[in-house]
Amino acid sequence: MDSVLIVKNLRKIYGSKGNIYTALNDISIEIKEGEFVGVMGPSGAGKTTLLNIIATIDKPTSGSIFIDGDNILKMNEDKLSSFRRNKLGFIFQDFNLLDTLTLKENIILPLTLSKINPMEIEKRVNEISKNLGIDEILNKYPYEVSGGQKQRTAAARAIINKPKLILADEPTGALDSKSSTELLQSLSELNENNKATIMMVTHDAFAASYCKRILFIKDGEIFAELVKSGSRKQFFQKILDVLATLGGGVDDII
Amino acid sequence: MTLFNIAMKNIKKNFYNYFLYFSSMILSILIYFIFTTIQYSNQVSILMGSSRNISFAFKSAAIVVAIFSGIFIWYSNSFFLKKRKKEIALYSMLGVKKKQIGRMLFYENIAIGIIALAIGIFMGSLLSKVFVMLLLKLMGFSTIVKFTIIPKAILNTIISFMILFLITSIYGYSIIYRFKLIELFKAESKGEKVPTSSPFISFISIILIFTGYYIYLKNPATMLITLILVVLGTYLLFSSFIIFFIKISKKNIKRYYNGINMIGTSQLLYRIKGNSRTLATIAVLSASTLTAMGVVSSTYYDFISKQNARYPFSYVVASNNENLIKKTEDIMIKFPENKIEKSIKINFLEYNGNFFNNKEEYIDDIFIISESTLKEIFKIRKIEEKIHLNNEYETIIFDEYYNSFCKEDYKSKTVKLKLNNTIIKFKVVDFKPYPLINQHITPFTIVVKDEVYNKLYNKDNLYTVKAFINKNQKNSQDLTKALKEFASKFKTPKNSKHRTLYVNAYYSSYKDGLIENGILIFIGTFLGLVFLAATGSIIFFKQLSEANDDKYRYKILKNIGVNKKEIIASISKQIFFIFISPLIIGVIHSLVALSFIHKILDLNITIPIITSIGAYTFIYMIYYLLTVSSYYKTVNQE
Repeated sequence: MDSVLIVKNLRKIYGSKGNIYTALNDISIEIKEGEFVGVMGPSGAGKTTLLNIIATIDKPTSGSIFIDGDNILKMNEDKLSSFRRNKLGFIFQDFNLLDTLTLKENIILPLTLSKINPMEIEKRVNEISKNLGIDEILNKYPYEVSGGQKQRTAAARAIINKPKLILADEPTGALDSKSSTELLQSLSELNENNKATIMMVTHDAFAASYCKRILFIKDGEIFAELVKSGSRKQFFQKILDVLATLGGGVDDII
Repeated sequence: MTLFNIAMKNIKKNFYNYFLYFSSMILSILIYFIFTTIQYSNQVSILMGSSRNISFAFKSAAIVVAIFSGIFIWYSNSFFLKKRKKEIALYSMLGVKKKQIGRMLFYENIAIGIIALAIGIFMGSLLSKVFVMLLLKLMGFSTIVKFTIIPKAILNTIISFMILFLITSIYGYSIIYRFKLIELFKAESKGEKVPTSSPFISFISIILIFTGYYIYLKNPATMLITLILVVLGTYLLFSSFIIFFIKISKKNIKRYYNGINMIGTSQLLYRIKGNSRTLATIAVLSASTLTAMGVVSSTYYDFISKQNARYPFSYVVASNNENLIKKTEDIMIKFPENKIEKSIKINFLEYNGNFFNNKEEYIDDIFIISESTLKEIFKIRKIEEKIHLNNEYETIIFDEYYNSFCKEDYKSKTVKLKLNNTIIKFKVVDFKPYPLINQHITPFTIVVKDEVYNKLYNKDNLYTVKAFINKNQKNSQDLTKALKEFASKFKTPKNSKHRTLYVNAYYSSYKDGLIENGILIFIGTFLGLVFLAATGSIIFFKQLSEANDDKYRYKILKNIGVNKKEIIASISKQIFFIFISPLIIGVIHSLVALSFIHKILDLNITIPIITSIGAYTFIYMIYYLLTVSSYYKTVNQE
């Protein structure tokens, strides 16, 4: 299977002379097509920095990143924009939906930007919204629906352009437990049925237990790796064990 | 740190936001100062002669500037305060008393006012000479003016604007007391709903505007009703029809699903409700400015293009005393630079006559000349047209007041002349809508066969004039003055219909026209500029404050891969709509209003109207570009 993401010796240093803070230190990751990878770690471990760099929103100090074979560090801003639009899908903690657009419009936004034929757009949005169970509320505005529905809309937007890689940043962070479960189920199904490649940053062990593989980061370095085997409950237990050794504080685990 | 220091820091920090407000204010002050300078200055009035009093015109114009500036400052202030709600709330939370916050804002306001006032007056003093020269040039004088500063004008400007600043600052001060802390912390537009539009009200707005137009076009005397209907219609148009329009445009999926259109359109729809009143106000304001500018430029154009046709002769001297005419000629000879090039003596016969058309009957003095005299006049005036009367019952009419708008065509109508008790009828075979000789001499003239003229000839009905074409008629001030002085020596007997000696001069009318139009153009242009600057800055503020609220939306867009170009395109489109819609409505309103001017002047006024609309649009578009670039800068800030 092809590698969707290859990160090599990634380093991110903030500040200048005398006052240096290393956010990421020599991180290397490889994610293959169809994987569902979780990134965990305590606050300040560098999870979000890593995600932002992979999302091409931030630049590393050194190292290299290949997404779908393209070296994203060598692209200019215009290229990066179209790269983000065509190859990446995003799900953020605070949904990042435009409140001026209906849910449907939010979902199809990436497609309209790529000037896809309206018929094709309609077809895809119907299919995806049915899969995610939001087909009934497509014409509502974000302020009219629940947090879970918003996040499923964001997920729909993230996958509608069939991206190579879906990046999710604490997608369950603002959701209640029921909505969280529904969303994670949806992501899991996307991964299983549509072979979507997902990289999810979270510090919620429950959310992480839906992944197939988990990378633990601490102080900017990869500390441990866990591959799923057995049931989700067993995996969840394993995750908690690793987190305990991480010692990131109890707050972060629960 | 004192309150005053904080106030000063705030101004520095917010300078970019204040910049346009500040420059519009300086412009208002500058124009006000120039107007009052001219009002008090004796240089202009000396040049024009003491008979005229232009200070009234400039005083009125200055008052209009002051009132408008007051409204503008008031609006801007309440706008800035709204924008700074959170900052004010923070001060409150930190335990600064409302009284102190109020005082701080008061200082800020007054400080900005004083700076603007200082810059405005300083620039005004420097530029006043240029402005006065410009005015004189427009009025047709080519003298050099001395550079003078008039303390009275400075004092007047300072006092007027300080009063404005004080009033608006006190208003700002009072606003603080009405704020509730919890309200201050609430984000400005969270949960703003998508506006609903009623097709019925949209329909009504269109009906109102068109009814207004229709009534006005039918009968311009109903201006007030039209004004009410159209203004009301415009407000409804912007609060309802525009929303309706955008919603309909969303239905066109092919267009709507195309790239940035969706972002721009939905953003517009989301914002339009809060903008509708501003937009309608701007449409109405643009309409009035454009109409005023159109009227001024059309009048000027009318004057320029018709002066020579109205006064084909440099001088027309009317007197039944041949001797006096001779004496005026002697005066002309004394001025070699205005040498007589051609002259003609014309003997009119003056009768009471009735002119009939189908419906109405005009009774008037009718002046009669013979066909051969007309041919001579035409020769001198270099009119090539062939004139021919077939028989003694035919006539040609010259009516200088003819206007296709209020009078019917003369052709194939009948003129009746009353001679003691007999009535002679003439058939009109041709008519000319211009004066035969200069304006105001023989307003209504008929041409008859020589035989008829001779038959009608009677010493008592004679009205003799001599018309001259002189060299250099546009620079004949001294000769004209001499002639007019000479004419004023002769008193007209009470029972006489005509003056003993009447001198009609091209120069007087030309000069009057230049002066009047020059003043009108000067005042009109600068008032228009003040209005436009204020209009532009109001839209600018409004858009910029929205940009601040929209920041996070553009960040989302950037994250999902919308590139710079697309964001700029989307912003440009969206703001273009905001700018262009009131402009279009304003232009249409003003065109309808100006159609009346077109009718009265009986002149093709396309050129002056296109010029004024073009100039207006050009400056307006500068504001558009400024707004787009500032908007982009704002949303692109980290």
